Amino acid sequence: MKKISELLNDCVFFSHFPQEYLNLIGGCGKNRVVKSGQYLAQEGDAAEAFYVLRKGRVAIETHMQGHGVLLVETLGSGELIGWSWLVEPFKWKFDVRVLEQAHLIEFDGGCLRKKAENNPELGYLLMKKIALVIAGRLSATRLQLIDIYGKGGH
Amino acid sequence: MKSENPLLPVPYRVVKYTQETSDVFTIELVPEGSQQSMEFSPGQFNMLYQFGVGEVAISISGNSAKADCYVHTIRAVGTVTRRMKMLTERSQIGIRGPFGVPWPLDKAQGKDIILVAGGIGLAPLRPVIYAYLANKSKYGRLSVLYGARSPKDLVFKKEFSKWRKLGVELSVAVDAAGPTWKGHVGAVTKLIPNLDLDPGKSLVMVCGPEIMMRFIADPLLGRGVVEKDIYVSMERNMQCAVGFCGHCQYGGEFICKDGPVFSFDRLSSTFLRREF
Repeated sequence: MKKISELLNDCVFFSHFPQEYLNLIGGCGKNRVVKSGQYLAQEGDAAEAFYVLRKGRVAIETHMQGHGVLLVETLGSGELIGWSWLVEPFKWKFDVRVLEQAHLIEFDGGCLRKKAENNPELGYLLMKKIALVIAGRLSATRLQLIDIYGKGGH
Repeated sequence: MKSENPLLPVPYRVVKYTQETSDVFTIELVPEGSQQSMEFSPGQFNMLYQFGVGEVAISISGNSAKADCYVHTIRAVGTVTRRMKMLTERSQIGIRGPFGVPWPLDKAQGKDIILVAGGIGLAPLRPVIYAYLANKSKYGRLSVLYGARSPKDLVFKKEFSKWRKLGVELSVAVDAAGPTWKGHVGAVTKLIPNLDLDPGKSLVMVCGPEIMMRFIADPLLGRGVVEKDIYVSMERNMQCAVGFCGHCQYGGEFICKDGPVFSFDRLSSTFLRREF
């Protein structure tokens, strides 16, 4: 069975990390399988973890008064789930529900934050990569919100 | 035979009307009276004339190998197209065309084809799917990435399972969906990172709102696709369709006669200029 640090080599998110950092990061990770229908996170809860989805599919959801549950986005294999663990006050901003049985690497956010504090170069690299994920999601959300296929468009 | 005067509409009759979504419909048209050629290449468009109302440029969404009728898929969004939504079988409209530069199916030979469609932008790309399925040995794989507002706004839904069975790799993403939707939710751009893509051996054709095409270009370029292998279909106020009136001028190009299909390297410097 592969060690976590070896599994990270297959993750696009970690593709530019030196092996020594993968070893450090891998020390905060473990494998986890979560069944369909279960929640990985709920909005407002402490964000103690984040995940790399190796296989399966999850939904990012929020609850809106009067509208019920809104499905914001779905994430699939290879994608990173959760950035709240790195941004104060370390609380989940959305619900994360498993749609198809998820094979994940679960990372202890607190453990990794400590390693990042002690190793600013690792911390900066992590922050840059997470910022890319946040920027990508912000850009995608912008496209969703402006209703590009709506009136006047295609 | 095509009309000798490209500005003169020829009368056609609606022989089939299909409601695709609440505001999108497909009509099949055959010429009235005299025999007209209905040959076209995927990506070309016709000027459709609703007599007494006006004229609009609409891409042909049918099969170019089946030249017995023109098929147009139209979104009722303006004065003319809203009136066209009220067409019935036997209604008459005028047609000028076909016009415009088609999708580069010749350059796609031997390559994987990737189609990226947004909303009704799937309509001008559907002839490419038909052409691919009729000549699969000439091409590599066909991937279709399709984004729409919601599941109920998807066009050509009935054909999806057939396309998939025939080997088309179709991925659909919607901006918003309820819990019964089993597919992707999110911007169509999100489908690019997981695309099985060989940049040097792929040709991409994109059709949708301009803002979507702008946002699609970046992740494609990030995956190593070069600008000259990305083709986009542009939309502007096309009126004469022969590069005469200037209404669709875009920099030094006329969308109607130099396009609507352009390789991205020809447009990338002007894409973000607001006055265009």
